[in-house]
Parts: sequence; structure tokens; C-alpha cells
Amino acid sequence: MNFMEIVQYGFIGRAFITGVFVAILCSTLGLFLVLRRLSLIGDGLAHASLGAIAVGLLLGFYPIYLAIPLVVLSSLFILLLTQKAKVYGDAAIGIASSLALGGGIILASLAGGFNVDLFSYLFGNILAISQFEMFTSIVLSVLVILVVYFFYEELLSISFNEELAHVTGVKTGRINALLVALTAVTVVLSVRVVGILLVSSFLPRSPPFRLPKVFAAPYSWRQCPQSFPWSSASSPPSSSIFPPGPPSS
Amino acid sequence: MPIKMQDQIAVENLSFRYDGNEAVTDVSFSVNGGDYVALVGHNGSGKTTLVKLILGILKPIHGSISLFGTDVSQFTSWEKIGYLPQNIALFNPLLPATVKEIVGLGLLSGKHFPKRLRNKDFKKVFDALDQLEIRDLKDTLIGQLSGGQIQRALLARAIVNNPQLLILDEPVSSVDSQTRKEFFAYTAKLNKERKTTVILITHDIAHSGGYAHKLLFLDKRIVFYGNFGEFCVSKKMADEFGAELQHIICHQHEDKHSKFHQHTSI
Repeated sequence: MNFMEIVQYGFIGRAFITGVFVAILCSTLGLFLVLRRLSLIGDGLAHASLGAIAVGLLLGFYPIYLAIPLVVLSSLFILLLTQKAKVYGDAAIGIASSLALGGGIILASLAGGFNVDLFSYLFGNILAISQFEMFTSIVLSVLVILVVYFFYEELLSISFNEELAHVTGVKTGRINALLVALTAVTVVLSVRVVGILLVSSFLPRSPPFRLPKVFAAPYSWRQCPQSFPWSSASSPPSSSIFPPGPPSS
Repeated sequence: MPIKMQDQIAVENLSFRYDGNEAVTDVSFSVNGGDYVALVGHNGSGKTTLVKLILGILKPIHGSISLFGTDVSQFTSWEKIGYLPQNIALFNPLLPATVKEIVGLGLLSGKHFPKRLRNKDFKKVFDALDQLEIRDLKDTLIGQLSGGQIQRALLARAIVNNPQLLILDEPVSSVDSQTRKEFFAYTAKLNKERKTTVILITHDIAHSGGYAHKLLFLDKRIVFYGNFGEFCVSKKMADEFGAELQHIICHQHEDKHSKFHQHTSI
């Protein structure tokens, strides 16, 4: 049985497509999260999603639908703690995830009847992905890629330095909120695929030496110096004063 | 204090505290277009805090700030302002972005959604890199630069939009003395030839005196704000700095300005 025969099974095809798009989502957002030193936020939001799923099960909603707004709120709460209460990012993530996880366990204990369902979310079930969840992951992936395309320079700017970004008119608060909110939605969708325990491993914590090509890519098609009409015409102004030095690397 | 048309910065009764600790108290002053102001003071005197308040990075607990006649909270014309912050160590050295990308980020101000850099923007970037003679570093990752090179790259970022107001927070704290002199001379040239208003925070009062028109001495409150003519005859400043240092600063100022005028008149 070859690959094409395998994916002809509906559940396998949905699992494959959803897995690919969730991977695209996580790796795209994870790049900026690592640079913003928020690489643990995936862990924290995954724990928060357990609490949100418990609320959904208790109230009789489809848990994922309720988890999305609740986890987005958790992500904004983390942001609020870091920006307004001056709590360090890792501590803020710890506070939010402990609160949500503790709340989820209390709710699960009180209700008693849905522990099996709840624990199925701990490990996920990629073969049980519905068609709706598959389309949601595709739509969200396209949305995230569009957001990153349109806000690329602003995301890069806040990743470099928020104060400088502010002085170039970047709405740093809004861009941060956008980044963590998209991460929250991504985490909740990923919970169905890999489960709460493994979702954070989808968000990269890779050392940044792997990243330059990723950052260079959006520029490469439009920054070929030889093709610039001004490359030979521009002459150094009279105010050239600093002696160039070699990189210190 | 009424805002005059030529005021680029107008600060009135400004106060700020960090967790109850007074940082800036009841500060009022204005900066006119074309001024070159040296902002000096001891460590912890509130210089950087004052600049962050002016730029809207910090919110004052009392008082008002206007930039180009607009309250800072409503200010949107950031392309008029170039800023070089104090502590380069706070930059994320792991960011895998090149010098030309970082300098290009200075052009985001003045752009509307989507704030994307275009080919024509990179002409300005390369012009700025040429001015600081670091074009050969354009493809170098920002984290691979030395302290002095980063300062040059960030100055290029600050001037890439040809701003009307340039705010530099201790830009020469990590560079050698030769580069420091060149740095001051370059800012003076911008001020003289492009009429760029410069606010320079520095501890190097002796050298900055050679280029600045005005001196703002801050110690949480304004101790002195005026031109060098007033500074040189101020008994209060003589007590603060000592008569000898006051004389050296005034001598530097007169010497540099006479040389500059001679040079530009040739």
C-alpha cells in the first residue's frame, strides 16, 4: 500500500492535511515567539486550554469552540501581566496556566462524569479530526500567513526592540496582542491533533542560528542589489565620516 | 506655557515616579526647530526618563508634552523623529536580521497599512548606510556587529527618514574617542546643514559643549536651561561644575564654533 492509497482513506487524509497546516501555523508563529522570549507560552496556553475544555464539557458545549475564546483571553491576560503588572513573561505564563489548569481540575472533579473525555484531550487524536476542524486549520493557516505577510516588518520591529518600534509608529500593544491571540487559537486547534501534553513541542524553541534564512526569504526576491537602478548611481554624500570596521564576529 | 509655532517640543510641569521614587519633577521647557540641546546630568538624574516621556514610551503622572504642536498621546507623525536609545545591550542580539533590514525599520513611520518596505525604501537605507560608511555591513547580521558598529547602524536607522528632530541617548558611551568626536561632528553637521533639531544626552559635557547651542542640566528638576553664553556666566553652574570645568566647556564651545564657521565659510 503506497502513500496515495493510504491518504484515500478520509480520516487519514484529514489527519495528514490538518497535521501539515498545524505544523505551518506553529512554526510560523513560533519564530516570533522565540524572538520575543515567549517560547513557553505554548506550554502555558496548552494548560489553559485544559481548563477551558473542562468548562466546555461541563456546560455541554463542543469544548474546542469554547476553548478558543477562553484561551485567547488567557493569552491576553498573560500579556497584561507582563506589560501592566511588570511580571516577567515566564512568571506570567506560570500564573495563567496554573490558574486555568487548577480551575479545570476542580471542574472535572466536581462534574465527575467527563474525566475520560477530558483525558482524551491530553494526548489528542489526530485520526479523529473532523472535516470542520480540517477546514478551520486551513483557514487559520492562511490567516496567519497573511497576518505575518502584512505585519512582517512590524513583527520584526517589536522583536528587535519595542521602544524603537513605538517611536516608528508601530502600535506595539496591538501587534503583541495579535501575536499571542493567534498563538492561542493555534494552540487550541493543535490540542485536537497532538494533545495538550505535546502541543508546545510544535512551537519551536530552536536556537536562532537556524533562523536567518527564514528571515531573509521575504527579502530575497526583492533585494537583489545588482538589479537596483541606483546601485551604481548613488554616491556617498560628503558627510561620510566614520571609518568602516570589520565585523567583530 | 503657550506653545509657539516653532516649538518642536513643549514640556509643561512634567512629573514622573518609578514605584514612588521621584524621577522627574515639575519640568517645563521647550525646544525650537534647529536647536542643538545637550541634555546633561548625573547618573539617575532623570535624563533618559525625560526622553522616554517626551517620546510617549512612559506616561507622565502629571504635566503635558507636545511634539510639533500635538499632544504626545495623539502624535502620529513619527517620521519627523529619529531616536537612538541608550542601552544597546537591551537589543535582542539573537535576532537574525541584517543591518539593512534593521535600518529599513526606521522607515515604518509615515507608512500606512500594510507597512511593508518597498524597493524605493532601500534606496534611502543605502543612502543612510553610505553616510555612515557602513554599506559594506548591509548584509551582516545585527548580532554580529561590535558595539561601535551597532551604534552606527542605529544612527543610520535614526536618520534614514531624514527626521526634523533627532534624539540621541548617550550614543557615544561605547565608542572610542576618535569615533566620539566624529559622532559629535556629524550631528553638528546635520544640525547646521539640514536644520535638524538635536537633543543629545551625554556625560561628555566638555566635548558636547563644542557643538551644542543650548545646555539643559537636569537633576530630577531643571537646574539650568539656556544657551552657552548664559551658561558661561552662570554662578550657579560655576558652583555645580567648578569654575575650571565651566571655563573648559565654554572654551571648547567657542573654539569649535569659530572653527566650524570658518570651515563652512570656505
